[in-house]
Amino acid sequence: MFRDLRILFAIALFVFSAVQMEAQCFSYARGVCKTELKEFVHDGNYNATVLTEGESAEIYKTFFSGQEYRVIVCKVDSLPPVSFQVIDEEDRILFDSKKQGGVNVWDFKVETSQQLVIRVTVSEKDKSSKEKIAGCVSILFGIKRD
Amino acid sequence: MRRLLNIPVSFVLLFGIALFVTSCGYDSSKANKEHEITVEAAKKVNEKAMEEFNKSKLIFYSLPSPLETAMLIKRAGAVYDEDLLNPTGNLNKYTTNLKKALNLGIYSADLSYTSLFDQTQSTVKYMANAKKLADGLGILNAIDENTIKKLENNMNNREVVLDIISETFMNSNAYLSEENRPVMAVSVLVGGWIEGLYIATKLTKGSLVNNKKLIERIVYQKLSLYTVLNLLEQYKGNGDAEYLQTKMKELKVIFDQVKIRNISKVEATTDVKNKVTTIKADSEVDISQEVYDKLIKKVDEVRTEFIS
Repeated sequence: MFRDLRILFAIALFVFSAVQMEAQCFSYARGVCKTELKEFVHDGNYNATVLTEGESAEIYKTFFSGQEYRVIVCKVDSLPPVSFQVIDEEDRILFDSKKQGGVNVWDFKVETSQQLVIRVTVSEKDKSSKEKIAGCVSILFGIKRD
Repeated sequence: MRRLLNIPVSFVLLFGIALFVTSCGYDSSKANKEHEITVEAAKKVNEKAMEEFNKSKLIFYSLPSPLETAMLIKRAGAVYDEDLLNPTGNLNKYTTNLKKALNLGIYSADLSYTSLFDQTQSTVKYMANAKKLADGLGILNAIDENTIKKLENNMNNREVVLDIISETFMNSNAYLSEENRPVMAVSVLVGGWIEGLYIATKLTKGSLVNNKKLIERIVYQKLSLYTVLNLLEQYKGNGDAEYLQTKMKELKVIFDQVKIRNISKVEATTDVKNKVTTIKADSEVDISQEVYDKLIKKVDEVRTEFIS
């Protein structure tokens, strides 16, 4: 009986934890990531989710000519490093954060309007391990102020 | 806490749903029979939930926000025309959640447009309307009294005003997404996008040559339209999403006649010192006057339906 209750309690705690993680994503995106936009104004769109080690997420966005954008990819401290790539419609990699020392902030000037994909990948600490860490990853876009 | 975070989210979700379904179906007098039903139901719910969960977390579609659209319009050299905005007096017409969400996006686009042209009194009025719609949708604290006060106190500081607008839009967007009301979140985006397109098309006064930069902005909304359709496709089966999809497909029929193509590979040049990458390609766009006229008419029609 007590064992059953303990299991139920543990399960409830897990569920609560998952919901909490999603909710904390917003606080994290707003409180931590957004501050790195600095001289760029945040476009107001909220892109954040909980990712697990080894997972990727893609975001499709049209970038308009004559604009300068700042892309910020943030992750909670508990997650292993996260990298991002900017990819064109023919799946060619235009930018890879790993080649720039694993940066999480980069600026993009667009001379011709394009739909591009930002692919974000969480690295794996130990590929053979069945226990994977999950945490919030946020991708924010800023537009250069006048 | 650390240990909890080590549990895969999918496992937690599956377990949670199973627990929820099991606890809902529990009745000792009919245990065996209900157990079978519960297991079957749990399996279906789990599969569907996992499919949705995986889909939503792997792919995002980012539409130009009302703020970005207003910036694009302003930077294309457009002028300010108050007559193009959705009158603030229309507010009481919006009684359904769909209309509230669409017009939250529309008023957000209007307030972004007014702020970029330093029309401070209008900005405050439109922010107040956006607040009422956000409140009506149950979006807690997205825009509170302090936001309005902060806006009034910084009316002459455009940069602060833009930050406030961006913040309130993010609050609404995030709240609806996290409260599992994604269709409402998408409706806000669609409303804002259509309002931006409406203002831009009206400002050209039907001419393809008067402001070529603005025309280019409008033409490239073809790409945003595909983003809108992809977004809505995720919520098939939802009446509001299907209604919006029908409206957007009417626009697609016209945008399909607009040609955009890269005639060279997309090239990226990275300036490591300044941490900037420049992306360019040679491209061709083609839109006839006839197609443009149809586009203006259709955008007007859809927008009129949204604000009515």
